[in-house]
Amino acid sequence: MSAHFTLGIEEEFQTVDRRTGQLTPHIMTILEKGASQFGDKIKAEMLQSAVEIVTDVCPNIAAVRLELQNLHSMLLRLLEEEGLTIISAGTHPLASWLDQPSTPDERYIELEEELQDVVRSILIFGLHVHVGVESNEMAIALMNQLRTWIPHLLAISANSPFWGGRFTGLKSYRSVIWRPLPRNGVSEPFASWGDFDSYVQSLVQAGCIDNGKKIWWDIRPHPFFQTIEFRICDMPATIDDTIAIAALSQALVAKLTWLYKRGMATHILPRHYIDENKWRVIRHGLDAEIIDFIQNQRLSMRDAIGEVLDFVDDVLDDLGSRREINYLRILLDDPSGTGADRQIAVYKQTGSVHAVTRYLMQQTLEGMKLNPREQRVVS
Amino acid sequence: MSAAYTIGIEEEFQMVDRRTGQLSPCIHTILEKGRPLFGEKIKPEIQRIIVELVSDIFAEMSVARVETRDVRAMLARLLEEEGLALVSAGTHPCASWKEEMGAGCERYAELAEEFRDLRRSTLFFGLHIHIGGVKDQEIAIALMNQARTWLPHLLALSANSPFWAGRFTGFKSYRSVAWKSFPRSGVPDLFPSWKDFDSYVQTLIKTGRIDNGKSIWWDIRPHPFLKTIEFRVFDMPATIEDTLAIAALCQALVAKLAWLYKRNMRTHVLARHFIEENKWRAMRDGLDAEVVDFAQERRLSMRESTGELLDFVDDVLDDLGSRHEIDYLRMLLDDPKGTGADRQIAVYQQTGSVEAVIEFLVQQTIEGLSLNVSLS
Repeated sequence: MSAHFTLGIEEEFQTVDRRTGQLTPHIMTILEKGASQFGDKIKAEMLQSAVEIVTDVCPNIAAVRLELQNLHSMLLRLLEEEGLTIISAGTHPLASWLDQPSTPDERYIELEEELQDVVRSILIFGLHVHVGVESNEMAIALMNQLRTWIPHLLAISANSPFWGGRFTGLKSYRSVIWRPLPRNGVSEPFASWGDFDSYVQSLVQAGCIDNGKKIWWDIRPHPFFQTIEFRICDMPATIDDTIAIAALSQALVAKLTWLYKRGMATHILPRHYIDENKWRVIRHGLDAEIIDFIQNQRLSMRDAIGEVLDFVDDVLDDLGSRREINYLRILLDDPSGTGADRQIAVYKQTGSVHAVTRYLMQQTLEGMKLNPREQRVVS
Repeated sequence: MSAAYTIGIEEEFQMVDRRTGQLSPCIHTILEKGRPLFGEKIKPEIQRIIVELVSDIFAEMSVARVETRDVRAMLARLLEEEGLALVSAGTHPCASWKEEMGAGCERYAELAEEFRDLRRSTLFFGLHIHIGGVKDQEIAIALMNQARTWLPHLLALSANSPFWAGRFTGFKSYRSVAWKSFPRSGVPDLFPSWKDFDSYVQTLIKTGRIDNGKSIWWDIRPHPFLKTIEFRVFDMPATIEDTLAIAALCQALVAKLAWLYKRNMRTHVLARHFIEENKWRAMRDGLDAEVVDFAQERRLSMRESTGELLDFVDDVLDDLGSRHEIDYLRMLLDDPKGTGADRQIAVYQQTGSVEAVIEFLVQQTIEGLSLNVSLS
C-alpha cells in the first residue's frame, strides 16, 4: 500500500543577511554556485530573495526526513559562504515588496505582465506537498474531499502574522496576500476527471492559460506528475512541522483511497463553506472556532484537527508515519502554539519586529537541528 | 411594464480637502449640516471619509436622472461650504489608510476586530444598484444566476480605480483586486434554488458567522431586506452620466431576463470559475479586455461583447424609457477616451502628477451639474 503514496516536497525559503536578518536578493549567485551539488533540487522563484528546495520523489516519510536534512545542511553551508542564512516563515516581518527585485527569467517577466501589481506584491513563502495517486479519476475524487481540510492544514502551518513591519492581527497574512490571484483558493468540486480536464481545456483553448500550472488552487491535481499537490501551507516554523504536515497530507490521501476502494467517501462541501472556515483560520490559526457544516456544529480547530488525526489513525502503521502524527498531537496541546503564535509572543515581549526577525533566523536554524560543527552563532 | 422594475442607487463618495486633495474624515459634520436638506438620503459608512448617498426608489430613469443630478449638486455645494470636494472614483489615487478614518463608528469596531490589518485595505468606494420588482424569490435567484455572466462587463464599464497608494497598479479596477482579500466577496456560486441560498444564509447566521445577509458582499446578491437584486460590482464611475447609464443597464438586464423567464427561457448559466476568468481580464484591462464566451467557445473584445449585451436588452428599452442611457453606453464603447480609469491614466501620463489626477476626478464628479467647484 505504501508504495502508492509517494511524497515530494517543495519549500520556499527566504534568504536573509546573517547579521541583520534583512531579506537579501541573491538567487542568481546561489543557483550558479549550487548547480553541481543540487542539480535540479534548487530553484528560483518570482522574487530574487527566495530559494526553493525540491526533493526527489520519496517512498515514505522517513526518506523525506533524510532528504530534507541533507538538502538543508547543504543549503546552509552554501549560504554561509555568502554571508547569508535562511528563514522559514510565510512572510518576512519587515520587508516591503516595493524594494524586491524579481528574477530575470522569461516566465516571470511574462507573469508580471499578466498579473501586474498582484504578482509584484507576492512576497510570500509557501510549502507544497505532493502525494502520489493511482489514477486521474481518483485524484479528482480525493481532491473534492480533501478540500474540507484545507483550513486544518493551514492552521497547523500558520506562520505569517507580520507584513511590512506591522503586526497584522492575522495568523496567516500570506493567505490574504495570495487571494487576489486568479484561479486560486478553494476550488469547486468536479464531477469527474473528464469534467476537470474539460475545464482545463476550455481555459487553454480560450487563451487563459498554457496548461494546468497556472491553476493555483490550494489543492490541485498536478498537471504533469500524477500527484495531488497541497499548496495551502505557510512555510512553517521548523523541519519537524514540515515533515508532520507532509505525513498528514499523505495519510489523508491514503485513508481516502482506502475508502474509495470500498465504495465510500467523506462528504464534499461547497466552496463557500470551506472558505468560511479558512477565513477563521487566517484570522485565528489554531485558536479558531470552525463549523462542521454537515453536523451544523461549532467546534474548536484543535478538536477538529484531533478528529482528523483519529480519522487517519488506521493507515499510519502501513505508512510508517505514526511518530510524525504524534508530533501533531503534541502541537495541539502545546501552549506556545504554531509559528505564528511564537512570532507574536516575541513581539509582545519585545515590542520589536526586528526581534521577531532575529527569532525567526534562530528558530529556523534550531529547527534544522544543525550538527554543532555546522552551527554558527547568529547575534 | 416600466413600473415593474424600480431602481435604487447607493453611491459611496470620497470627501477630499479642497486645498490638499487628501481624504478628509468629515462625515459627522456633513451629516449634521446635511440632515435638514437630505433627510435619510445621506448616510455614514464604515469609513468616516465616505459620504453615502441613498436615492429614492425610482419607477423609471427619467425621474432618476432629475433627482440624482439635483441631489449630487446639492451635496457638492454643501461640501464646498466646508472646504471639501466630492470625488466619484473606486480608489483614492494616493491615500494611505489612517486609523482616524474609521474610528467613531459603531460598526467600525466590529470590522476592526474581525479583519484587523485588512481594514487598512478598505479604502475603496463602490456603486450599488438595486433593481426591485422581482417579487418571487425563486425567480430572483434564477435571474441572479444568469446575470452573473455579465458581471465582468458591468465592471469594465465602471472601471475607475487604477491607482492605489500613489502607484499605478497595472489594473483598471484595483478596487476589485482589493476586495478579493475579503471573505464572501466576488462572483457568487450558483444556487439551484432560493431554498439553497436561504439555507446557506441561515447556516451562517445560526453558527454565528454573520448577523444577517448584509455581510454577504458578493458582486450581486438578493438584498436581505429590500427584496431587490443588488448589483455591487461597480467602481464609483467617472461621471453622473456613467452612474445613470449603469443603473439603466442593470434595470434592462433584469427586465429582459424576467421576460425570458416568464416564457420558460433563460440564458446560459456559467460556473463561477469561468466568470472569474473574464472578471480578472475586466479588472486588469477594463474595456480593452479580451473576454471569452465560454458557452459558444469563442473569444471577443470586451467592447464587442458589451455591444452584444446592449443588443440583448434592446427590446425592453422603450417600455422602460431608458434608450437614452443605453445609447450613452454605445457611445462610451466607441469613445477613445475610454472609462474613468483610462482617463485617470491619461492625466497621469500627461502631467506626471497625482494631484492633477485628483483635481481631474473632482471635475469629473460634478461634470454637467450646475455648479463650479475646483481644488484651490
